[in-house]
Amino acid sequence: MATEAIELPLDLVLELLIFTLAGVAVGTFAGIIPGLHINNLLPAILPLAAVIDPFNVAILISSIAITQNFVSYVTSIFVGAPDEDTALTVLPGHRLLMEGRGFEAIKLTAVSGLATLFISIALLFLLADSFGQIYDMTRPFVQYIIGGIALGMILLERRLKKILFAAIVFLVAGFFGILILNSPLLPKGNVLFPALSGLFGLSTMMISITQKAQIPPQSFDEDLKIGKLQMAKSVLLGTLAGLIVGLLPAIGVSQAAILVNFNLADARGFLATTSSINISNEIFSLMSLFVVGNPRSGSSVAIQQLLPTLTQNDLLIFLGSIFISAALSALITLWLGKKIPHYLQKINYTHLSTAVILLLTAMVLLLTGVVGVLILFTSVSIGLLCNFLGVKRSHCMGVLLVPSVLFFAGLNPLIIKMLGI
Amino acid sequence: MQRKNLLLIVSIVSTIVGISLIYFAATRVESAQLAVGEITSEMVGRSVTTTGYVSSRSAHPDGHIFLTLSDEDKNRISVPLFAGFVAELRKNHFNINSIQKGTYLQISGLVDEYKGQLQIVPRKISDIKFLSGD
Repeated sequence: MATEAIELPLDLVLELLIFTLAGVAVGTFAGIIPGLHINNLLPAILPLAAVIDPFNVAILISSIAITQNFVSYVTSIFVGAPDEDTALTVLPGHRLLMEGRGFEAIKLTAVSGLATLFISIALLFLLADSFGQIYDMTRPFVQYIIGGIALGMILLERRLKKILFAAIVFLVAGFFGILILNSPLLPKGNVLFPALSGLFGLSTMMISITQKAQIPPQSFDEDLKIGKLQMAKSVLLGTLAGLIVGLLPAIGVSQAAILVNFNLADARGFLATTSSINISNEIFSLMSLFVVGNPRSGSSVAIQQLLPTLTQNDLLIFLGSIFISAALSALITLWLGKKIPHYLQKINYTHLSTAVILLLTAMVLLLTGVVGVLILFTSVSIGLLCNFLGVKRSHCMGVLLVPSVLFFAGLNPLIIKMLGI
Repeated sequence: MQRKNLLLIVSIVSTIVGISLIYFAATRVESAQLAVGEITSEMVGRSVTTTGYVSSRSAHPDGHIFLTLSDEDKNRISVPLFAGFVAELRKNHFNINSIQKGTYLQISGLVDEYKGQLQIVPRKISDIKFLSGD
């Protein structure tokens, strides 16, 4: 494919760079603040197109989306406040933090995210023509694949009593998920913040408080204690799973992470896989707009609104901006990964956990109201139930997996009718 | 051991209480009655009821049916009937074929946004009601 070299005037390059850097700054802020997502910011960003060149606003949006993906692991791993895409990383991330390897956990997500950036862009161009076929081939089997994986997760508990308890937690979380995701109590975009913070974050912190846990001295060496082969496998599987997330919108990042790596005991492999899925999904969502003309995320829908027609040169400029955003946000993530544990070690962890619990509850109340607090209370209860029954917290993912299986099996209308919601 | 059992009981009770309260609240959310033109992207996730006539109807090979509901002021909104829902309608002897261009309907459902377009997604058979054209 022959391409003409793009000639960009210096002032235009500077302009694009400024909006990319602004996106990195906003994305870092959005990544650190629990519950804040680019979709919440879009209503404030889109009107900027009335006074700023829409192309620059689109660059700003894609830069925020990429940066937030990298930086959100800092909040997920150190504070235990995840979003839908990082929910399961709280568990292995917290485990590594308690082993004195909090920085390594952050570095794993940054390194695998950067590696994924290159692989996913290459894959996207190679597979662009096959997306429709892949979708048609896999679509009828998705509910069986997710159901099979969920069953495998439960059976991994091995002992009959634990298997029974795991099944109970999975089904209770699933019923909770059906209620909150299918009823008009809260918009879908808001409902997962209190639910996942409670299931994975707050309940973990409450246990830490009861156990009077302290963050051990942290190691800041640059070693990644994961084999090269294991790392490569995690990144490749994560990248492919990210494409699946893009192809099948009802599958989220956490479901895909369980699909390709449901052994959460392998903390490092799991963190690398999840980070790869997140980045690959974001790249796919943004780039599919150019490659197949089909937006697949809130940010890409916004970009399509701003730029109805896109040229090949636009694509190259976007790619350049994405690479700069990814490199800078990986550096910022690593910097925060070194700075934050220093403070965490100095603070009494019980006091810190109490403060974070209060902060998250206040954020939930602010963003989602009293209904959100009720959802948070219930999800914390389910998370604690999981702990006191002595089964893995990952069974709480029933909150997303059960509604997904029902959706793909076409059973949602029947369930909604039966429940009368 | 006793403390752990107590905490287990507390978490079971609070789970049951929480889920019951959410279920109670979910069954009591009422739809807002709005004209098609009054439905905006700020309402995504909310339950609404609106009326209008079918200005377009198309069937997807996978079994979905896509309607466009319009009002007299030419405001329009998409109404997707997904395959599972269509099957449920047919099972309950709802004559889906009687919904054609020009049919007046009252539609209830959750407001959603797909590819930047607003849509109302009906979920129960009672969410679709036929109206006379007057």
